[in-house]
Amino acid sequence: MTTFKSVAKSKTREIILIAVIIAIGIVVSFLSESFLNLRNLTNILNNNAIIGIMAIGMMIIIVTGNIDVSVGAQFAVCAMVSAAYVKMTGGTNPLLTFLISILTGIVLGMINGFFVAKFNIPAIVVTLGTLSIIRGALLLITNGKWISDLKGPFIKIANYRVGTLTFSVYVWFLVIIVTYLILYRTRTGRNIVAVGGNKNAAERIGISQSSVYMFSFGYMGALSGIASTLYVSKLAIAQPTAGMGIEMKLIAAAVLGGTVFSGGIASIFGTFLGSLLFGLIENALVLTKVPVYWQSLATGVVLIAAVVSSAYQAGGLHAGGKRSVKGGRQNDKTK
Amino acid sequence: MTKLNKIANNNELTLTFFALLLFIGFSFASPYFFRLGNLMQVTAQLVELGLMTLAMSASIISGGMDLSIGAMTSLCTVLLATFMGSMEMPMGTAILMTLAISMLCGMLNGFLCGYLKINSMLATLGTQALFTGLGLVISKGVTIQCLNERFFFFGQGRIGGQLPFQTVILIVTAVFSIILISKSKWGRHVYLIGSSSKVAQFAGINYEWNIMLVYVFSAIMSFICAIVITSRISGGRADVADPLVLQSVSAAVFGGISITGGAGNITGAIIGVIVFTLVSNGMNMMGASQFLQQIIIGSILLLVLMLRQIAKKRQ
Amino acid sequence: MENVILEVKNLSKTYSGITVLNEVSFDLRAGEVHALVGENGAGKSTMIKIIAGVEKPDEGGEIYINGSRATRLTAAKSIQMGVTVIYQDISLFPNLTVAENISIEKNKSMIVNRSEMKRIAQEALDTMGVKLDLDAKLGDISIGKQQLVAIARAITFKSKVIVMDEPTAALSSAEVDMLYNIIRAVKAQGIGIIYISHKLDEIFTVADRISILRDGKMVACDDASAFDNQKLINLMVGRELRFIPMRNEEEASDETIFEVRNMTCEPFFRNVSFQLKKHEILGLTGLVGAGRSELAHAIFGLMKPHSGEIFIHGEKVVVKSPEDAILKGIGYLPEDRRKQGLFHGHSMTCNISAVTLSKHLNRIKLISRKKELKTASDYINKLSIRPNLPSTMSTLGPASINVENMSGGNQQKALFSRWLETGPKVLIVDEPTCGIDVGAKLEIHKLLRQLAKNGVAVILISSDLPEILAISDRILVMCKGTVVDETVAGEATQEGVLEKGLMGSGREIG
Repeated sequence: MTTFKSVAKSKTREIILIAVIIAIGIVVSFLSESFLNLRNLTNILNNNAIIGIMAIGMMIIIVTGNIDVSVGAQFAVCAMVSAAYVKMTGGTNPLLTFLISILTGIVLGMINGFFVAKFNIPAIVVTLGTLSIIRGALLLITNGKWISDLKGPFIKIANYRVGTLTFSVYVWFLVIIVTYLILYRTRTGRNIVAVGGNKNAAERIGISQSSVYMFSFGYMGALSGIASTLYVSKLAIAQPTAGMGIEMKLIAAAVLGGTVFSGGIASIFGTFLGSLLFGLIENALVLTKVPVYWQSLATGVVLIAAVVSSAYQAGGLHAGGKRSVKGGRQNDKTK
Repeated sequence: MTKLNKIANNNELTLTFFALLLFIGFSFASPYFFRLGNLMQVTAQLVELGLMTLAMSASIISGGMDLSIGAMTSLCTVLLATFMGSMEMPMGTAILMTLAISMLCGMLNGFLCGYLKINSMLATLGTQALFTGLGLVISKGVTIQCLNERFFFFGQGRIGGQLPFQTVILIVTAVFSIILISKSKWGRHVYLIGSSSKVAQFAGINYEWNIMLVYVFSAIMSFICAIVITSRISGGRADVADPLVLQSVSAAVFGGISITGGAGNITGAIIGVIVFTLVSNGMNMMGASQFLQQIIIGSILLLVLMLRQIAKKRQ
Repeated sequence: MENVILEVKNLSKTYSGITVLNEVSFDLRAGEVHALVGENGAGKSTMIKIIAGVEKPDEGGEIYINGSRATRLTAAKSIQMGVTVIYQDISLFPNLTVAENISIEKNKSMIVNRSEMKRIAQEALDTMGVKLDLDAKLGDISIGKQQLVAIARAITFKSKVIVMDEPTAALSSAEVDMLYNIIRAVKAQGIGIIYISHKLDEIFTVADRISILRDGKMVACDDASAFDNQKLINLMVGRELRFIPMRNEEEASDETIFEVRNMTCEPFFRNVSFQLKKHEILGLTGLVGAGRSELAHAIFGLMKPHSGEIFIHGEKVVVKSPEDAILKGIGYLPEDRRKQGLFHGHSMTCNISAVTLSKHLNRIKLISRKKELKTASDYINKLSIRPNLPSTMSTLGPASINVENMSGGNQQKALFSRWLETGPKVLIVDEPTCGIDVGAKLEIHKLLRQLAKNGVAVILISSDLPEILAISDRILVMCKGTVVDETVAGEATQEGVLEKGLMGSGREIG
């Protein structure tokens, strides 16, 4: 029986997030007149499409029980590749630019996937290694130089508006829909959730863990490719230090949205809301003229509040006063 | 045969051998490497990453990961610089105040991870943003200068004109940490909790308190690191230690600490730091770019882990 | 032979020089239950893993599934050829729904069809005659029901062979009966079942044929009617062994050494009171989920009871946490050896000294390895912990061996050592002989008896009725969170206890 109550219970996280977003919205709309108008609100979406797209990829990886801290470097390589291509061709072929960038991303992602799947090395360690290698190689090759002065139709794409929303936002929505279909309507998606839920059980019925890992890291790479191309198109430049530290933001957005670190539980809509919340905070601080350096503090407070609230949510399940016996990360390592 | 196997399986020995190899290699490759001045320089370069790795190792052994140590260190540099700079506090007071605040930061982490049992990576991701935010707000986003001459000794002073004082700090702290973590009751509890927090609870080990201590330990290490950094750069900045966080994870894992907790030891982690520093210094001496060093360190990490996994499979 | 659906010929397996399986042959007919028994380490699980394609056999062995030779089996191929293993840990996905779990491999197309999925799941459950909520998350339903889901999944795989590895380990008696019915239904469809269990009464209930493995060799295979309890045990152990009732020779004194008064912890149990006299073992039984382990958790401080008092030697004690419980002389040997008991990846020594580190410190408050080792080797001798290991490893001595490399019996003895070292006044042992071989079982029974004789208050929680009847002096039966019966062991019968345990519990499953 799917009653309203049970729906409400399974979607608590999303409902809380929406409530928080609305609450912040109300407060800010009193503090600043320019907050509550369509242009500003759509701007929040427009400005967060790039982060939002990549957060979806990070969520998929977290669902498989892995993590990817190399995405920032991936993002930079893809950005540089598409910028270099645009510089070469004059930006006349946006579609091909996207494809090249996506392909680059997939290759980089698959390298991560390969090490995680074939050598059974924890993803955080692999991606720490590739982070250092990819970023180092990019800086070495480009010598730290930016690619700027990009021209052509390409640089108009990201900010091209249909209605009030930019092309980037439509891409974001498309990514959300495609991810939803993959995750809930295809075998691949079901395998991702299954491997995240119980690795051993999946292996025993012949679900290939390697291909799930390869796919999820490749998918992350592809999304890095898409996001970075939008980024280049939006700013008309690319720098080899682009996307530094972005991984933490992505992880935070996915987790804020209710994705569980130990894997197996996905929340696409929650991740969307998570990215949006960060964007909203940023926007609110700008509008209320709070100095930019307060932003990190606000993000931290929201993030801690979110994880604490979810800890209480989980604690509430043991009504009998049972001390919850779970601990930090990966604590049940019994074979 | 079995003896050989045993040596090959001994992680610290393998790593020490590797470090020696690098040492000899660089000595031949660069005329500037094997000089007292440079060798002392190497030991000084070890210190910051070394202290961070100590902080990181404890939390990894306990089955978690403290991502906030970089932000905590940076915050402490800002505090030290502000206290001694614009607020003109005496050095001792400034140091004690900063220590107290860093311990409070650690207690916040410990409370979230230990008592509320929040996944440590998540909790410290949040506190990392919080600490960085505090640092930024206090420093208004700029480097704060601190020109206390006496304080410079911690990060710039040399004993007998040669041995950097910060090296002494690292040696003392490392020896203390090694004994504490491998020999004390708390240390053993940390290993057992890292192995399985559930089993630890059934064995009457106080999860909450021990984890609290882990994060306070991390905070104190971060604080010591902050003293060295503030003294070295004569000031504080809210993001000065950020790059050290992921490096310290690499060094710890490279040194044999299991990323899933409960195994590995601090000695190994310190040797990991030595290898990383040797690579970086040696390549500097050979005029290689900093970016190339980054590539090489990343590759070494992956290669060693790959070999370790392959060896494990063979067994 | 008619209808042989699985045949194994001359299967061998060696792990780094140790022969685990030695030229084993085995066959399974359609529609039969073939029980596979043997002590731990006899090679049962290795054999199953090979059939399931998880492990590779040595050269020379042959496996025929449905008449066709299976070479280079992988997990997927084995399932495809019609072999499904239901592992002890169930191996399902807690984050997926019941329907998704059942039909997971059925949907071969790239696109997942939800209604088709539910139809398949419903069909499988119908053949079993079971009703389950298809949309429930698997993690939210009981272990018993999860077991049913696993069987349903095997049916959707169109399996010809289903292997059940200790299927009743986590089930209550009502659920076990339910399982028997389903096994009958599955048999009727011409599916062959390989049934692995340590519980002999179960084997005689379900099995048509019985094969016995000992030290990697097949020592007997015959119709179930050709065996009786004693013969089976003799074949398994290779020596005479009897499950002798063990009671204290001396009279139980009147001195009450442990007492629980009106303890309540909703929703697990309520108003539980009992007393323990000196030299007695108190047996605590009932269905899984009756609140037995939770009662132990509450006494041990793992869980805060809402009300109730505890008295040790007449003195009231308040237990705040497990740490506190240990200080006050209460020990608890948990139910799940692997997930609650052992520190995997650590040595025997480290596992034994884990609770009593304070006793193993040197002058400057650091852990003394020498003291630790001495304690460990003392217990290794005293409880005769005998690691069965290749010579390369045994050079280290048993105290340094990683617990993962020990047999279940030895692991359990290590856990006993851990608690004995604390010098407990009260020791609660929860399913202490679950999944360990008969020899080790007897040794543990003797040990418990010895403890009671020395004045330790021993509470034995067990689902194994013969065990409870054989070694406890008084038996407490719990049902749905309340104590429904208390009998003196000599007067209790298996049937009587069972009836009390089931009373009012209904048969909710299905």
